[in-house]
Amino acid sequence: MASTLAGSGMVWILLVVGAILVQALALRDRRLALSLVILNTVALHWGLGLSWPALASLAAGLAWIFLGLALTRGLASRRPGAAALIVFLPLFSLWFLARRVPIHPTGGGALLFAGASYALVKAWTFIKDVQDGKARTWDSRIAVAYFLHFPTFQIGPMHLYGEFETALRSPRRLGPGDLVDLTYRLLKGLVKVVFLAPLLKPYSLLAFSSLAEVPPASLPLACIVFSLLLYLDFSGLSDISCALSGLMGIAAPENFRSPFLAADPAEFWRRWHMSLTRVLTSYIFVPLSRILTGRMPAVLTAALATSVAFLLCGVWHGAEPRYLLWGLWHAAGVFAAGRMGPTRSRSPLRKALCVLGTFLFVSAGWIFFAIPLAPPGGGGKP
Amino acid sequence: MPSPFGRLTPRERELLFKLVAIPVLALILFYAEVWTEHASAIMIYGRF
Repeated sequence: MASTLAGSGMVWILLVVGAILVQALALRDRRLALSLVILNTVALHWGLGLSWPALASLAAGLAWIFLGLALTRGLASRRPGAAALIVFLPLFSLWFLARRVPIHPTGGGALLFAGASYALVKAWTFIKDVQDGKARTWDSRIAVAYFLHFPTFQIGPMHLYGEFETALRSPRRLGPGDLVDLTYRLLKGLVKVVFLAPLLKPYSLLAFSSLAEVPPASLPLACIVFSLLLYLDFSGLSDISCALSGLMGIAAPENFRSPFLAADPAEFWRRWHMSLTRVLTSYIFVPLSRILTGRMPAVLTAALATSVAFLLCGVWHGAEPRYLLWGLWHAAGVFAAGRMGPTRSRSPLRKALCVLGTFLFVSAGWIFFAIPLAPPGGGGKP
Repeated sequence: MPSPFGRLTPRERELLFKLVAIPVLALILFYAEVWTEHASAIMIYGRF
């Protein structure tokens, strides 16, 4: 998959040509969404290498969502939250179980496509928006185009259904300046992913196969370099996704806004993987806080809602306990930042220390995230 | 002597910078496959 994504220049040329073709067709074809569905399927299969079984499992998931929404229409008017969970939980369960199956071309793992986790988050926001009445007039063809949108399929940034529908109904006509902007962004992203990030790999946590192998003296530097590597890699992939989506005339949400300038962990998450953060905030933290408010002290409500949001964030990143630890690490940081209040100091030195402290906090958190705590088959955690 | 770019608007300057940068980035990419393993680290996790 990595080589498909970043290694083959020909794949990228085809994807760019495809994106421009889709833009040209989409602006002319009255059956806009249908043409997008066909072209996205072609791009996903031949461009990004999704197998037919994987596409079939995606189609089955979409069929369940549409069926589930139809079956729970009555319940949604009375209890939208419960109706959303009834439709979503089977998808979540299947996704969670499938992640534990080893990847094998002929095994169950083949059904779990690259991009499944992003599709799952989009499914939750879509189902919640429909059941809450925010997307009451959703269109099934646009919904399919929303889930198949190939530029953001594998690595985000994740649209919300409403913003995707708005962008699709009024796709932007690209001028010469837009083409320069988007070409520059595409190449900038590719250089980050293909060139800059791999240069840092030998000095980062990724140079080791488990945490037990990292010499203690090298650990701080390996964590810091991993922070930079991950930023270059992930923001580069987001640049590529945004550029490709832009070439189709569909603006994608931004994913990064100088995250290492954050002065506390909560601000970090408002700048890092922003399309996920808004889901964690608006679709998990806020509804959960509403349910808990009045049932327990405010401080406990905040602690519990933050912990659940970040534990789910951890599970989403990987089905291993170390991702839960990483989630709890950030939950603790965000909760503490919330208790201390925003950093309003005008002292540049104090601000700089907060920024540095946040960067080190985030970098230390990758200890749980980047590599296994112990070698495979090497016993318990260190 | 006044700069030949002195009369450009900020947007025009930005576009000029990008037009110059595009072939430079393309050149880096052309050689990057030789210099690096060109594998995205994030896709190592591979199951997103």
